[in-house]
Amino acid sequence: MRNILAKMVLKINKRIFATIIGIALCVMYIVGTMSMVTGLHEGTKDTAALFDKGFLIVYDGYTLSESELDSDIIEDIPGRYAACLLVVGNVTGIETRVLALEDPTSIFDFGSKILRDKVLPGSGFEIKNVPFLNITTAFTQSPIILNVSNDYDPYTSAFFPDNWILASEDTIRILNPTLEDKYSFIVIPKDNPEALEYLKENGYTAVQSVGIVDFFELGFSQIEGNLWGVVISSTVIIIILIYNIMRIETQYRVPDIKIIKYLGASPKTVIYVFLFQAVFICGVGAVLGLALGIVAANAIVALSQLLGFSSVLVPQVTLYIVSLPLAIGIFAGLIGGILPAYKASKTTIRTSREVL
Amino acid sequence: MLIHKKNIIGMILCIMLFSASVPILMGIKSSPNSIFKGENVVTISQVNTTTPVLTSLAFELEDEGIVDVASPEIYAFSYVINRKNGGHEPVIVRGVEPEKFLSIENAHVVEGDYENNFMLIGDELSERLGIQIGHGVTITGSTTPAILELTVSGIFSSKTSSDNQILISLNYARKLMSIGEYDVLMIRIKTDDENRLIDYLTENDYNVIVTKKDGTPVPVNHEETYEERIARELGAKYSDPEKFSESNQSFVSTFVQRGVGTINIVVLGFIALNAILTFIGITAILARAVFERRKDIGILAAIGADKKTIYILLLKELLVISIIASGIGVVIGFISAEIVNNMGLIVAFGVTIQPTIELFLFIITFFIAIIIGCTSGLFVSSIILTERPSKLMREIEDKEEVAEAETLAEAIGV
Repeated sequence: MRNILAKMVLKINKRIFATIIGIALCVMYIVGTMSMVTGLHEGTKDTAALFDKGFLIVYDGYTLSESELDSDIIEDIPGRYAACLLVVGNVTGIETRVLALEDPTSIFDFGSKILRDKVLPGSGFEIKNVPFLNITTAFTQSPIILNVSNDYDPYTSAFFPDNWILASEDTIRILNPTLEDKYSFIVIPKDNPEALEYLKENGYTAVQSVGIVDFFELGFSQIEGNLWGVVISSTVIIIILIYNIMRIETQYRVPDIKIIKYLGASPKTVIYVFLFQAVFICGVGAVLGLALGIVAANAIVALSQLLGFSSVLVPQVTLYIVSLPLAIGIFAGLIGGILPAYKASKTTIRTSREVL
Repeated sequence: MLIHKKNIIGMILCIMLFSASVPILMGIKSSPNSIFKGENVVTISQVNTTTPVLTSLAFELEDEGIVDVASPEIYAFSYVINRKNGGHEPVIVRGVEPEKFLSIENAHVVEGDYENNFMLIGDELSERLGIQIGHGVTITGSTTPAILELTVSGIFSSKTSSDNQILISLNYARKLMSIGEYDVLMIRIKTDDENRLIDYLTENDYNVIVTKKDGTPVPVNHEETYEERIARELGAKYSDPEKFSESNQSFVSTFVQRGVGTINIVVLGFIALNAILTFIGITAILARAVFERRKDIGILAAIGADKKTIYILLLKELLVISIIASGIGVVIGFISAEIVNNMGLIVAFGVTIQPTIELFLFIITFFIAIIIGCTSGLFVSSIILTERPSKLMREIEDKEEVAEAETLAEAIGV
């Protein structure tokens, strides 16, 4: 009896073969899509890896000036770093930011220019050649006078905007008293992974100061999120496909069903037979589609280059891309096969002549 | 024989999936153009990073009366924090002369202003990320290490993909991209006479690339040899730092160009694969429908109808069922795409994809759906018609029963 049932499950005729091809094409679509997107993602990552990633920045909150990091954390950072304080201010109607740095290892070339009782505007600051600036912040009741240093030329920096104002830590803490024992953000050179590790252990996340790397990373994450539309539409088609073929198959095999029922198979057994067959068909189709998908993705890229399109695309396959279509195949087989299998289990034998 | 509610519903489902994907995919295809160029806009861009485009060219073209509006621009790629969920979002930051940009995009500032140290945010981006006027935004350098923090001064709306971007001054953008004090990456232009513009640039020895309204690039005073082009493309494809070591900017401009080519490939490939998928789904539905009518086909064959007659009969029904299913399916599909558009569900690289919903595309999709439906049906019919009429009639005699009965083994107690 088991052999008979196994043969029923594994039977492949022309119709089933055509269905397997259909499922293979659906799975090919999923695999091809995912391998092309992954290839594009990985290709871009490789190129992004060539970029100078610059400093790492650690802050907490929506903006640098809103961020508050405990001083205790900063005291124990290993290696080179610069701890910064930043406050938003308004100088005669012009919004600006006032920056102070604790830069013990001179990452930035500002050290001697930051005086305790004077500030140094950047070269792009709109108000020039004045002895002092009247500044207001969200934390001060009345304007505060900042004496402008005339010992140095306005600062220039490749990293910080040229229209900010450099000040001492004490000045910043007057402009924003909530930063009394805090810092706004930390800048870590890329050659100090120990500092990054230390901050990670303390629950802080660093961001890169070169945005294009993260732009591509985040952009591809959005595209990968959109791929679920492709996966869902293909799964719906596979379910439709398997439902229809199993309906045809169960109708074609009414005599077989009658025979196994005559031999004692319960309705549950009939359900299992056709469900296993549906899963078997989908499984074979998924494996075939996996191979076709990889070939198709590479073929599309190769053909498109022959047609004159040029791209950075080299399709890639990962364990996820391999396992997802197989999982979809089994899921679609179960969903699409359940109703035909149930209907087949309801087949009845009125007289023994029907079978004999 | 085939016109049955359940067949039509199944076909509608398949066609709906196909027709919803077409405008979305076409929207993805047109995205790079709408992001970097715009509708009915001519662009002047640099040939390479060693030959920058100067801001002054934009003013010169306007002063000489060669163009109506010339907007010098710098685009930078960065990311910002989404205030709604705290996550990071990729964003295109564009350095602009605000009035010229607004004129090119037919945009307007819906709230706030753009005076000193302005930061304008598109209304879609503002809505999506929960960033409003008065909120601070921190941006890192695009291709060079830098940081920038500005307060949003206004919200603009253009009803284009620009509504997903952040606008800042050219000076700030230069900092993010680390480009020269007087340089820009492109000048976008409104003009009715592209050829006059090209002639002017040629006569005045400008070494640039003009991209016409239809997207055709025209090198002006610049010829790239075949070997140079191949070396550049291979360098970009295999990330060869020897070929592209001038600066990070080289990678950006190359990637933008190659990215557009890649998107075209992916989109056209997906549309073809989607059509195949729809064909498979409809074939499965019609296979069952034709199978259930085997007896009718057998009877027709037995009473003397030849294959051609049966084919014509089936074709008539297939045409009717395909037109009905295609009409309903394509309408629902396009409505679904419009809903996706309104809800901003598809976002790629920080830009909400706007499905291309046009009458021409609708008609094309409708006819493709009809062709897919008819082809699927004829494919199935041709298989059925290869069987003998007597076999078709005999097979159907084994009818399934719906009521459950005892098996013989159960009846005899075995």
